[in-house]
Amino acid sequence: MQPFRPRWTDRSGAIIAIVGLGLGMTLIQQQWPVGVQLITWLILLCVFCIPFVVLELGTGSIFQDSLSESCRKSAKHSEIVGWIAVAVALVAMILVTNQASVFLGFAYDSVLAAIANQPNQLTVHADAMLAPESKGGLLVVAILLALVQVRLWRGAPVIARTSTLLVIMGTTGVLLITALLMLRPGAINGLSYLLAPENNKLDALWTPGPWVFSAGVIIVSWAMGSGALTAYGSYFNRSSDTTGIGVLSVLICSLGQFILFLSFALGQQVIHPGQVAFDQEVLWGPMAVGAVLANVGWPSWWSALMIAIWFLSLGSFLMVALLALIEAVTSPLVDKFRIGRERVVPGLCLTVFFVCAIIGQEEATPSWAIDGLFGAMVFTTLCQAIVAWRAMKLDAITRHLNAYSAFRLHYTYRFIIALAIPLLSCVLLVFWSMGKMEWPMIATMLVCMCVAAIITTRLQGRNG
Amino acid sequence: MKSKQIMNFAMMAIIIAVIMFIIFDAAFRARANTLTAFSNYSPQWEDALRLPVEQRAFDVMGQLSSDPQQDPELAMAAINVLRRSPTWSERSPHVYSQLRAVLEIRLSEKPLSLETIRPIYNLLEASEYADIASYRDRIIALAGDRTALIAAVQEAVVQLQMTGEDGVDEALKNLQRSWSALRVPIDDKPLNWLAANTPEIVGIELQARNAVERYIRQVLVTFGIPQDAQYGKSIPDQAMIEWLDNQAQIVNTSRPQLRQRLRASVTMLRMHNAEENMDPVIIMAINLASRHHIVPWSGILIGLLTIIMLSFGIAYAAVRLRRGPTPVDVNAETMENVEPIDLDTDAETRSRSSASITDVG
Repeated sequence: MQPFRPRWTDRSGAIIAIVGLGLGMTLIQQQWPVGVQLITWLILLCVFCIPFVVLELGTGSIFQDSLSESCRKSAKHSEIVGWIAVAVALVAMILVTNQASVFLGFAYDSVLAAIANQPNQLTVHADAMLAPESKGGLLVVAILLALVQVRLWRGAPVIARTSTLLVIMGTTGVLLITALLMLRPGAINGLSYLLAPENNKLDALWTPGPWVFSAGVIIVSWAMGSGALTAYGSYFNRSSDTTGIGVLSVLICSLGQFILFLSFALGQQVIHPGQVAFDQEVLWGPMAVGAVLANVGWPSWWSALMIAIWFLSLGSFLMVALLALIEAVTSPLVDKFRIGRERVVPGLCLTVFFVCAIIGQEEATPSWAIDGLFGAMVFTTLCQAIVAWRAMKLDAITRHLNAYSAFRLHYTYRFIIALAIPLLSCVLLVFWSMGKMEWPMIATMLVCMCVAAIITTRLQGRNG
Repeated sequence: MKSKQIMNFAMMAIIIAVIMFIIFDAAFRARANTLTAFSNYSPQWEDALRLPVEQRAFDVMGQLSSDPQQDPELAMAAINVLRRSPTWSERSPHVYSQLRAVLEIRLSEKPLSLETIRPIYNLLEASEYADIASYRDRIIALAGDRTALIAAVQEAVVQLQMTGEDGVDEALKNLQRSWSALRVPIDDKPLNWLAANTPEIVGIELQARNAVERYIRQVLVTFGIPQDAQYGKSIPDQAMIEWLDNQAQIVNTSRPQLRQRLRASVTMLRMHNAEENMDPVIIMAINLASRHHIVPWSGILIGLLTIIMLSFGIAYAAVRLRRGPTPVDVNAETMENVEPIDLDTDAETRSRSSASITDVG
């Protein structure tokens, strides 16, 4: 544990930082729940997500340490689980950085277009109209990471202040754009598309599809940042009500996610002249909204301004997620190796910058990274739950949390952590591997992990 | 886990990853080099260049002829080199006999696997094997007799064309049913790629597609779009789009059943991959004409459920959190006094002195 551990100055800042993490992670997903998938999403939020977030925050608060150290203290030979989660957070960090740079780049180009009163890049036939384009993706990444690392130096209090500012900014922007979209022709179609799509009847609740899909959405939103949750939990006092904070954070974030889903659905269905050229229904949610704003017939400067607000809002959420993910990697290194934050954070940001510079050569966000991350994340979730179960401390953890909480965790909580989460993770892992295992690199990674784990265990045995 | 063990683990993982990477990368590069050599191959090259490439192609065929599915692209490139090579006449009997033998084995297997048959057939076809027609007929026969199914589709097409507005729903369902039945396996015999490309099946599918497209245009006439409208494929007519945008404000409110029919027709075309040739503006017209004007009751229910559950949950959690911990036994067991297995006692800990203290952090 760090000799000096920064603390949250107030509860609301911590809650907003957690909410921002969930919202930001939502934006690296390609699809969102619609229709009956919303019902399964809600159920799984209660059954899977809230217990998981409470576990992560709770263990952080109890052990006053980062994820890897908490795992070590929780059970023998379990530190590796924490480090796998750290590796996952590192890859997620790269994805989030890439995505944030794309959004912020769009926002910057739109500001240029608004100043010059020119059409935006998302306007139909923008090439012919010479829409301004800065092409400064890498510069955006550099500025973004520079900002993030400066804010991370002093830990929790500054994270809370920055997150509050960014989340409020992002929420205001998203609400404004959603309200504008609601006033356009086709808005009802967007609502129907989100709440009752044609091919998504209530009968589908009895099939595994919506459940697996919603579980995937929740895993990507929350489990990738599990290290961040534990680190954030460790910045509370042991006597903090982490159960209540976890519950409130997940619920507020879910409401925010629902508004994001709504805006994406509206973006895909609102009618505008560019609908055919962009094939709106298959356009990715955030881009679909951008395309609508660019083509609904407003003056060029107004359209560009609205697009800038939209992408800046999404970028804000991603920045909060980035702060959390970098914290998820920083805190184990600081706690384990006693290195100063001021050395770890710039090092990490530089590493991410160079990796982004290399990956940025590709046109699209590499889908293999998302697939690999998802699998690794399911695996990590499973491992973490097993650690909790194996350690047999869950009972003690529950008692501790109950002693300081306004909420009471009953035996169902223990049942969910020790049985339901591992079971669900296994199901997801099977579904995922059935579709993706043919890709040799993922198989290689898994084999590497297993062999290395076995060898390490052997070494440990010999040393012992 | 100690630092030394972590280092051991990390080093092991890195070494294994590097070794695996080198093995995969070597295989990948060897394949890429071979493919480049095959694609650049010319029979006019001098022998010193030409013969090694031909020999490599022959070796590749030797390795892949028993299971070309392993790498169909490489196998096809190899056969293209061999076929153009001056030594093809000498080597062809050997290659043909290998491919024929494997194809015969695959054709006699139970159950049949079209995924393994197709690459071998393609190789034989690419090598211009003289008796390829006999294999073609045998593979087509594997799909079973579909004459009755073709007739059923034909009948459904005629029904859709002849029926008035009253029976059109039934006709659309019939066509959907019979068209789908044409593509499903008969007695475990699937419609293979060769059978799907026979003139009979291609012809009847074209008829069905045209009939559905004609019907869609017929419905769109109701919305003011001429039956023979042609707006181009890549440059939409701006004036037409604006007109459609205006139309979209008013149409489909009085005759919602048309929306269902349009949706059914487009879904049918989409299912059979027959949607690509439609004019983009017609697709947009369908989207406009078939859009919702009200949210279905199930949608309202789901929306309300989501918002109420989340809002109520937030309000409840906020109130409980503000109120602070419920009075508990001050001697309750906590992590500090239950089992301090490995707790770091340096941590800053605030113990509660009474039940009234609320949370600070």
